[in-house]
Amino acid sequence: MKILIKKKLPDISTWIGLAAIVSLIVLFSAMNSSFGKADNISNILTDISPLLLMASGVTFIIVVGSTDLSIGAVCSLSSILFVRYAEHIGLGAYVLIAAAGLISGLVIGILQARFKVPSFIASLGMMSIWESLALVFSNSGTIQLNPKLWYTVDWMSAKISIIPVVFLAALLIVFIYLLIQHSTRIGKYVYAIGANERAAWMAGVPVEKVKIACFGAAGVCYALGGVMFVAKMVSGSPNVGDNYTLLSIAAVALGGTSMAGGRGSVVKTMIGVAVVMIVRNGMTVTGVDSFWQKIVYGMIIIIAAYLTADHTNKEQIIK
Amino acid sequence: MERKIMFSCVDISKDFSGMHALDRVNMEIYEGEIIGLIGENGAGKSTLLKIIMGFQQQTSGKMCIYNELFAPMSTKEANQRGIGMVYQEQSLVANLTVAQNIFFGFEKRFLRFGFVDWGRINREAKEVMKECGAEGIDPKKKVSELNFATRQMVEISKVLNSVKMSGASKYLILLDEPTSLLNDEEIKILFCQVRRLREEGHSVIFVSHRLDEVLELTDRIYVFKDGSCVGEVKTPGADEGVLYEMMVGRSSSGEYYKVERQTVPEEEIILEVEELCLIGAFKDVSFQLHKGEALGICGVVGSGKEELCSVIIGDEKADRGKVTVFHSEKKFRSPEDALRCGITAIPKERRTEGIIGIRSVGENITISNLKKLGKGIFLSGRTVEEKGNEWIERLAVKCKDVNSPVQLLSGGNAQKVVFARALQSGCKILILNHPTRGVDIGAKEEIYSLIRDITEQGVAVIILGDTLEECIALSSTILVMKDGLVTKRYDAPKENKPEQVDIVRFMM
Repeated sequence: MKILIKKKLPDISTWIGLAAIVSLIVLFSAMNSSFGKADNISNILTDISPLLLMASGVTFIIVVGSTDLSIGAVCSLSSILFVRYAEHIGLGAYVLIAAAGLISGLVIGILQARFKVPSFIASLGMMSIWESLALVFSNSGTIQLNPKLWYTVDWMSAKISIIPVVFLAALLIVFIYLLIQHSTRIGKYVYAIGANERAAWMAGVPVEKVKIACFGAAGVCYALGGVMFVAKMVSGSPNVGDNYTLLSIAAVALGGTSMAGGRGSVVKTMIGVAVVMIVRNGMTVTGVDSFWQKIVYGMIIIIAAYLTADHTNKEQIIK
Repeated sequence: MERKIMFSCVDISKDFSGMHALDRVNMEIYEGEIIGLIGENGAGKSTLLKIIMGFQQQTSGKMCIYNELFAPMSTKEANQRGIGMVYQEQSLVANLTVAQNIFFGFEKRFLRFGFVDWGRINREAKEVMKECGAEGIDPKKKVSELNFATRQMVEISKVLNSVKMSGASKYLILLDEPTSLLNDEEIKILFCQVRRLREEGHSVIFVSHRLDEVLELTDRIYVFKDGSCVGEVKTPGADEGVLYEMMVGRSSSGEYYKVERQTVPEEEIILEVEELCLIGAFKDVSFQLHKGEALGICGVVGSGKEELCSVIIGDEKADRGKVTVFHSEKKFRSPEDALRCGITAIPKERRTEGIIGIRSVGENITISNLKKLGKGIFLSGRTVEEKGNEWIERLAVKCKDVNSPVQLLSGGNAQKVVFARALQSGCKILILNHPTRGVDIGAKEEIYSLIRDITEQGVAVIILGDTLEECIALSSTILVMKDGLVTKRYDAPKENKPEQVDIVRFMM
């Protein structure tokens, strides 16, 4: 019975996260009455969707003990590719950008898992490549989506009551991740690899395949995140994703997923995303300068990483 | 002359999330005394040492040095009061020199115009080692170039040096399993040093699983069981039987290795290795492994036996040669490939290769077998818990529950979890790389029984024993390796075991 109760209750960091969300909502509502209006809520949910998607993708990568800095670059490139190629292949552009994201992730995954290039370096390199390609494909400027093609992204802006469809789409993918995390062996493998890669390898866990799969799936998430921006702005931009590498990792860290791997969850990331977006939206609504916003995110990521760092390391020295 | 009590513990208790690791332990150590500390794994020896060294703090109780309260919050504080510890797994930094290691953390004393005076460090390191009876070690050599025994000497010199700098007149040195990696000659040298410390009036706590050593070296022995001190024995007059009984609560028997249960290998060959070669490690190794066979591989460190096992389970790739499993030739690229053919291993380094420390007992047990436990792509958390509980019961693993992290378990219990993992995988060939390393006598016996159980079921095992004696007793066939070559093969049926001396001739 005791075990049952314990299992039902999320741990302290989750409660702290939820408390933060509630208090932030109260704070910003008090500071600006328009914060709690239906329009703004709808706005927040639309804004939150791409981040939710990208942060969920990178969660598994972090749990597995790696990291990914190509998030924003893949997102930007995919927004450009979508606008460019929807002209020719219409809805097929979704397949195209999903494939692009997949390949990008697989490349980093293979470099890391097979060739032992640190994921930090591999993804930093890919980031530079994708950023440049985004500039090449867009002639270094925003490109508009042909109004004839708006139908390809319109469905995302539709709303059910005040909930935008794009948010539901993001939730669906989060749910799939959650299912993998909880109810498949891949979920168990991800945690085992992050916790002790060597032991997992010796126990016959398909370490390479799982890592490569994590990166591949995350790549698709980043790319779909890019399309969500197209839906919002009916244009593609080579720097639309720029902030999102920082924001995604901040959200994961803030949720309480350990940067050292082996501990964490997509649910935690959802809470982290909510906190980050409420802070962001709240700062915008209350008129905080966007340069200052970035300072806040930077601080969030460092503090969150400090809070989730393994302070118990002391114990392991003696063992 | 009245001897003074140097160190004492009064009612020390330590709780870990509801489990008593230590329960009101009392201990008194006089000046110039060697204390033996014995007990099964999980009995609380290591926890007590950790508390004395300030790695952990007791939940209740107090410690005193010369009747003065002693409550260290870190190793450094313990060192400052004249207490030092030599760890089971050495704490030297391999890519620094001997001298740098000895004065690690004390470089400030050697500053000259803001730079470290390495010449002086080397000279003083030489002095320190001379005092410890370890002259002849070049202080400028890197630790990675030394063998284990020499490293142990350096380690002891380092610890002695750091307590000496505290200025305390009498020291207390804790030795945690210092002999597990040493050969007989080296053990003798170590014992000489320990006795010299005693003559100088210092005290030593000696923890070992080898009772003969404890009886030879110590003056008094504290016996631990399940977190409390169950007895204090004066060494003169004690014998292994008495200690063994106190430790495990049951009497020792001659059938320690369960030799009478040894199986006769069946006809069927399940693994055949032909002229296998890994450049720089071993060459032209050939052998056959039959169903139900226990194949022991003997050899000193560097004989190539470890690497041979790595190749068989796919952790390393052979340069030449053939491995045939169940009549089909295989080239394993990873332990995953090997597992698919029914081969898995109990790795040598339990903490780093064997267990996934921060994950639960249940997850550790099932990790090699998830494919078969799931329904299609799905896998329920409950299946994992059920399987975990099944094995916890079967192997009598002591843990809070199936969801507690494996890193909280004692060595012996963690090893049982690794065994459960391998057996749950349904392996047909099990490689046991030092299966009883750092495991106490009680758990060792259980592991021996377990090995007999699985060979009876037709599983073939390859054993790299912790001691030669163990390897001979457990194996039905023995391969002896030297410098990467198989120098001798023995049949070792239960009635006719080869002698250790005969085997050693082919090892050295």
